[in-house]
Amino acid sequence: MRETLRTRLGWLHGWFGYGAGLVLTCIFATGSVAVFNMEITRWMQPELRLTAPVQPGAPALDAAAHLVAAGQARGVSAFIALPSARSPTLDVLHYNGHEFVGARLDPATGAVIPARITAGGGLFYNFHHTLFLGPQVGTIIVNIAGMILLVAIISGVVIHLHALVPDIILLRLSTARLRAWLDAHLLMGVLFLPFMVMMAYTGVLVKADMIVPVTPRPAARSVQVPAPPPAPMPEMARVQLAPLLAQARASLAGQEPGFILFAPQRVSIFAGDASSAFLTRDHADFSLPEGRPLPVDTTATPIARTMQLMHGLHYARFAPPGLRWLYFLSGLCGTAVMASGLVLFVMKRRRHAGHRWAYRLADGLNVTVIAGLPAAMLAFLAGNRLVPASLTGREDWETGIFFTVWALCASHALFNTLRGQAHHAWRAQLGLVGLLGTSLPVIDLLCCPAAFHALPGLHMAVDGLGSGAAIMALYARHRLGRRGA
Amino acid sequence: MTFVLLLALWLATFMCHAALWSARYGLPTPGPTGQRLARMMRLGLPTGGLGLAVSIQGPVMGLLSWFAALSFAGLLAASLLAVGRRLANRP
Amino acid sequence: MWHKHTMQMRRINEPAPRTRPSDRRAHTARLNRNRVACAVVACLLAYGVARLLVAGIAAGAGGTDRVHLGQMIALLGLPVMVVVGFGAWKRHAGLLMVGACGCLAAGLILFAA
Repeated sequence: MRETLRTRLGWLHGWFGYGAGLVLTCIFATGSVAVFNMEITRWMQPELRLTAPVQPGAPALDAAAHLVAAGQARGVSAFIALPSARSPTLDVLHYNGHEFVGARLDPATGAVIPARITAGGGLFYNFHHTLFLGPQVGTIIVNIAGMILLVAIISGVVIHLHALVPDIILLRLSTARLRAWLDAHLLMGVLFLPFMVMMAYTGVLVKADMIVPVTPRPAARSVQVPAPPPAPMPEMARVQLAPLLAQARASLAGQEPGFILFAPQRVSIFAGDASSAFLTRDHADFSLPEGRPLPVDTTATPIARTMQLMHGLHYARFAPPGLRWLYFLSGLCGTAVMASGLVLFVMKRRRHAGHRWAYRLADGLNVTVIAGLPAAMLAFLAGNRLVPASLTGREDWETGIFFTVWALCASHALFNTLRGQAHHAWRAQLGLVGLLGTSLPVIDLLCCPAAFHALPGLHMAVDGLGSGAAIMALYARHRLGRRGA
Repeated sequence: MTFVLLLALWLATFMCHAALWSARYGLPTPGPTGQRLARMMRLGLPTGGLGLAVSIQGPVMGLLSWFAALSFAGLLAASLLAVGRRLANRP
Repeated sequence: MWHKHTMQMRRINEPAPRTRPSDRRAHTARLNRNRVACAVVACLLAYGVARLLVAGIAAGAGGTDRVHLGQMIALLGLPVMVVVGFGAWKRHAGLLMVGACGCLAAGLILFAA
């Protein structure tokens, strides 16, 4: 075999792409869903039926400040998230090691809404950027995968360069199966190239300090040292937040306040992330307990602004609903590019290596990622409705359901593929996705009819997405049955 | 609404592109005037669309919408051409 | 264009050189070993150069802004360097190019010092 640039980069694209693609498919799939993380959390807390956000009143803000102070006394460092279009409640949140959880208050009265505790959309968000492996290890793995994605994209472009423009919309469905899969991979890969490059680059840039730190990283042991518990702040409960919020709104010109954070000597009111595409985190500071405004420098250099834009583009919190849907759909198409790449990698090697255990292992991992992950995600959503609302530690139960279903899918896929019955594994797991997806609207309607009535758009969207996944899975299963493995 | 317009502009652009590469896409070859027109539209429509998107939605949102329209219009065009070819080849 | 076309035709029409299957297997195994080694070296070298780039650009006055600029450039360059380091394999030209970038980055640090 002659070694040329194309064969060489083809090898790099295939092996790097497959190795990282298994992780990247999960990262892209959960990232796409995490675009709607707050909406999913609202769906998973059917007790919350507020439709539109209202400005928080003084009693509500005081009640929230009391909750923060109480948490601080227990050693829990919490902050206040103000109502927004995506989350109309006044939240007192703290980080539990995986996601932000806490009490939800009615912004008009300050009464705590007895909503069920849930892992919510935060599970997808957390899985997207740490794979649930913790903020250190997980983030580094995700960043390495992001970097490999960029390598795979560049090598893929070089391989396909001669036909990049002429074949940009070429899709031959009626040719050989391998050719059709390759066309689909190339079509979506080229068309969604700008989106994938943007997400991969901004994604690695968000955590650039972990990949290319300017100073040597601290030793792992020093990282493990737990932070000292926050000092109790008795002044916090005495401060009147409502006037401070009005002042902050005036000083954060054009930006709506989003969060209130407390420090021993000051309270900081931060601009909400939805204010602009630049994730500025501009803030107005006030002294505690008297509430005197403190000087804050909010000017940013061009490089800082560029960095803020990179963050903003990746998190997409500024995006209105239409653009959010485009992010979501583009993310799904990016996932499809990677999934088709995984399938192609295995298909290409079937004739020569189909009998080898490594090939079968790869096939099993493909089933686990492409069919098992959606099944686990749908089981997680269905689990939210089926786990009793008053169960203690129910967010752990929900998380447990997600990982247990996925682990079972992985075991089933590997058991079947290692015995040379990949076809059976695909069919069974696609059927499971179909079953879970079609049952999601039924379970939702049966368990929470009042919530469905109060927020029909939200419930129809989430249930509809579940049904859409089910239809696609059942169609794929039908095609698989007709054409064979 | 802007996005729908961008989508239509990109769809027309991709159709012009397919007409210019008629052999690859199994389409009838346009005449010299048609080719010139298709080439002009292929260049002009996305440029006009970009200007429109940036002026209506601002630079960041406009660029994001423009690229998203490119991607989805491309998918739509590819699907339309593939389905058309399949129908044409059906005995 | 004519030359390229003729070359392609020749490639198609010429009979493939006859090699025994065992020879072919050994050749493929050697090729794969070379590729893996080259990929590992390209990744490590590119990463080292990226770190040097960040350190070089961030060296001197400028604070966080210079660090961010360095990170933006390094993370943009890192995948390109991996592809170049691996792709341009003749006489290790790619690795030498990446190494030259590393020397430039080291020069930046020395210059700032």
